[in-house]
Amino acid sequence: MPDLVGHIAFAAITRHIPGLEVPAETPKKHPGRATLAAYYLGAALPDLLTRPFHISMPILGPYLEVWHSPACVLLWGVLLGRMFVAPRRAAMLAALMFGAANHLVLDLIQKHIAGGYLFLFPFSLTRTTLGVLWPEQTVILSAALAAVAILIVRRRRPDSVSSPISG
Amino acid sequence: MVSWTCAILLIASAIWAGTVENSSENLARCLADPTRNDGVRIKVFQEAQILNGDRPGSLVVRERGRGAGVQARLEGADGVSPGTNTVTIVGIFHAPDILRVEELRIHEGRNMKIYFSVPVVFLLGIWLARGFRLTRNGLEAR
Repeated sequence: MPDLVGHIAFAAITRHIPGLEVPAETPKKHPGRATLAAYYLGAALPDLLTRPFHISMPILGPYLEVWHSPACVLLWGVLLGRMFVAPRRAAMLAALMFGAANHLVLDLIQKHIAGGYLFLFPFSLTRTTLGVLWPEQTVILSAALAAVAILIVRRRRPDSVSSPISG
Repeated sequence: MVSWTCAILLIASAIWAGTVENSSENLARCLADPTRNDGVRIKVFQEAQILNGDRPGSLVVRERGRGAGVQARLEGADGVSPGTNTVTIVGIFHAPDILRVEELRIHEGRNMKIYFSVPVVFLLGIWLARGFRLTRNGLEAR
């Protein structure tokens, strides 16, 4: 697990990549603020669903790890999406899922000698990752991502309203 | 109806995955029947930590994710120090409570990741409070 700093930073970077737009919404007083909040919530969602329990009540770890899988994150997204008011529910759900996809892509690069993530659930309970970086190496990755995200956000701030998920 | 379906599927998924995981070869199962599981290759990674053993210089690994009191004496972990970082170990179990290490990985900086993540959760809460307001119908964008 890269820490949430890394996940939010990665999400802040990828939201500026052309072609990865979340469905547009009607700006109200603060254009895009809600979409952006939903997007970042999605970027932290898989860890928020599992890590607090994993750390404070380790005995629940083997049961709740599956909520970090794409299938369960999607189910959680649908469940949480019901909390948003109907006209903008689809846009919020899309933002939430786009953020969650970011999270899972970043987790996929990790390397483990045992453990890992149940990416293929419910088709398989095999723990799969791409095996690029050890979990401890992602601390450096998070710092690098945070630095890049700060640079991008500072550069993009004047035209932030026209960015894919404007904030 | 949709919400209930999702909730039931999520609970069922957790029970299924947890049951399968806990029924696989693991330290808790080996300790429950050490003689029968002598020589079994296991993976220890559910919130596992290396601690000092009862004899000077000896080490034990405790896997908190498998329940209270799930710990084994370590062999072949030369040069490893006990600490608060979590570890992953692949090794061979020997009765009554010995784990001969084949591969060991200490997750350095894991605690730092947790500490750095806490302020992000608060930041996320602020973003959500700024982006939405709670109404009778649900969360409405501000």
